[in-house]
Amino acid sequence: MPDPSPVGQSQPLDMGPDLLRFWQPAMQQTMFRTLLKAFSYPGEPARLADADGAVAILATLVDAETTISDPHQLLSDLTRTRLNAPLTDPGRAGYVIARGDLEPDFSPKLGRLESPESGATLVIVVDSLSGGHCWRLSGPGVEKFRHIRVRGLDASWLCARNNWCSGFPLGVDLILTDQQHCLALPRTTLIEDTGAN
Amino acid sequence: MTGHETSGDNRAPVPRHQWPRCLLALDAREVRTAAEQFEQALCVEDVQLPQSGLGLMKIRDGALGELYFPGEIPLATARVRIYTADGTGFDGAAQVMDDRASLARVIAVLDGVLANQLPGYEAITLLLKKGQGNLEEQAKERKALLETTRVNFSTLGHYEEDDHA
Amino acid sequence: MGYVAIKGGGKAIAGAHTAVESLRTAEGEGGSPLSLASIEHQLRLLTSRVVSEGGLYHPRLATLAIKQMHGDTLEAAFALRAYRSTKPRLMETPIQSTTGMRLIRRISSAFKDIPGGQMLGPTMDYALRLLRLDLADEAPETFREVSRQFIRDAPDSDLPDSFPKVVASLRKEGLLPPQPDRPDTPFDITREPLVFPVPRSAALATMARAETGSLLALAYSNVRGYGNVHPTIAELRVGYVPVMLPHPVTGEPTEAGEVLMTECEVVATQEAGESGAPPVFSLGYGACFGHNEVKAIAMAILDRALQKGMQDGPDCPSEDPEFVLLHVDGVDSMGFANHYKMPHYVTFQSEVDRLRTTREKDAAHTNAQGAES
Repeated sequence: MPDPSPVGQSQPLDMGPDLLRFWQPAMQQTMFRTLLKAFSYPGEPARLADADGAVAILATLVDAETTISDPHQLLSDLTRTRLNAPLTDPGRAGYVIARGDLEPDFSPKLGRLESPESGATLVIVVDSLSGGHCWRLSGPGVEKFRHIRVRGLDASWLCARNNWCSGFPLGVDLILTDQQHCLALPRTTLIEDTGAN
Repeated sequence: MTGHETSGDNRAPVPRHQWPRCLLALDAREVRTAAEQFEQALCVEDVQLPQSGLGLMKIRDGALGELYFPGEIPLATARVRIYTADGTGFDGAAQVMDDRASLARVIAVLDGVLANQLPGYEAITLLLKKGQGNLEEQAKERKALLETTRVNFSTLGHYEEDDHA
Repeated sequence: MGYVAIKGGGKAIAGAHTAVESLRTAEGEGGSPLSLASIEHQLRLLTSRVVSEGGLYHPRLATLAIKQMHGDTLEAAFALRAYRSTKPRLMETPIQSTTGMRLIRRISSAFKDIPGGQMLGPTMDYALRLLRLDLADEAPETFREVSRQFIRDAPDSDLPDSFPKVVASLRKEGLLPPQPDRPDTPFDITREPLVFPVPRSAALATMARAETGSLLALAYSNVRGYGNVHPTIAELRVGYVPVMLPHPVTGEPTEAGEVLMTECEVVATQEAGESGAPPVFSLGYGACFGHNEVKAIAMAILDRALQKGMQDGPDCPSEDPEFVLLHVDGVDSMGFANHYKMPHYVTFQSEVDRLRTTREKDAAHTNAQGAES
């Protein structure tokens, strides 16, 4: 995809760690396995990287054959170029990356009965996956019950998610990340608010 | 869109949109060697990892003007940032019909060096001229296929008259 | 005789691989391996066929497939398709212009004088089909001299790089129907299955990588009478189409490479114009990778036939999109024919059982009837 920015000098040497490593084949294989396991055992946290886990997730899952939406401007121009997926609005994207602390103000794709898999995958950036508000999970991949703790996720997300997934098999799949770890909440998982903090 | 066929040494410089084509017309080793020298002298980083994949070709049909895909082409892409001694970064990129991602990266480096006239760029100008020469040879052969098979309908009419005489 | 399911056979299969290789190298001491360059040049039309049927413009890999598959075009195309399925899709190119084709051949049978003239190019159309015995024992030096001579004798030429299309002048004169206002998202046959009715772009894409013989037979059936396309070639051109992609940094269209293509436009029967408008010609179009003239002509005939079939309903097999498009893909058809060689022991055993049971029942029934009477 062509980058519309003009030719010429760019910023001086970037001192931050470069995220390009997430596109290396070996890293992609590892990340994919991690995400596969996360979806197989909903709610079980998995370690991604020292930082920028959200980009790691998108770098693994996204390419030119899908679409992304970044309504909260979480991705740099460079990352967007590297992902190579056309950018669109959150109601039409295959993948949406969003801030967990803000109320979801969009309606993601839920899929169609002939292709429920075209429902969106939401990557939600939160503060922590090891403390905070408690949810109880049950369903496929969960032995009886599992409790997860999330901090930095607005209360309205649970209601929104359960609403979107109420027409199973239509719905969305969530990946929560605190940039170092992630956990997956596929639409098959039953999520209840324990009310506990 | 094709290389200019001006003769003599004072040819117009090869336009940037023909650089990949001219470089691909050379032996790959020559191109790689040239890029290696720049990679040793300057600091080159990948903006995007070089990739090797496919492009879906799109054309308009000549009858009804509708779009369709006749098939796929191999495509290798690369984008690099070249840093000079003072830390300024210059971008170079290449997309070529080839499967060698490493070759695309090499061409991207040369693209960045030449476009920004970084130290040593003159060597690339020479390479381009050489490649352009190869392409001109190829164009000459193709034109010969056309030139030597041009149909001259006027002489056909003349022979017919002789037959009836 | 027992019909039993056989397990294993791995050893036999490994043996088959070796047997295949032993035939390929049967020349032994006196032989030398074919070079890919030799296949690409000396068997250029075979390479073009495989490039076209494989659906991937990669002549060098096509020659490798030909070498590996001992010249079987169906298997070679299959190998090329298998290769492409392992590569990621990086992009859809912007619309490429075939008007910019760097021609090596350009003819018209409808018009004598066309802008730029007619140039036969490298064609065997006018050659006598007499076997050239001098090729049987061709000496390398003779071979090289032919090549050198051509380059030496190459005249200077003032011909332009590209030529306008013949149909462009037809269109300017208003002799062609106006271009229809159809949604311009072309169908991607590598991503979506054909579920009928399909748009014309799906038909063109399917035919572009179709097996040449199948396409030819169907087109032939139409012009021989199982149909009524009476085509005249407005233009047939063979040449190299430059592929222009926007430069990732500047956005400027930059040449990534070129694709050898054959393109054919045929003019077919006149149509009564809509609502009293003057009658216009109707066109058929065929274009594919590689130098494949018969395929492009067949494709153009079938395009015209399918246009009629999609509009008015099919009157013959070649006008029926479902009949044509589902049976011309070489990998599909060859794959199915080949699958019959795979063990069907269990299925067949059950058929035999069923046949025996039915016969026993019939015999018992006949006996019972006989006892009653």
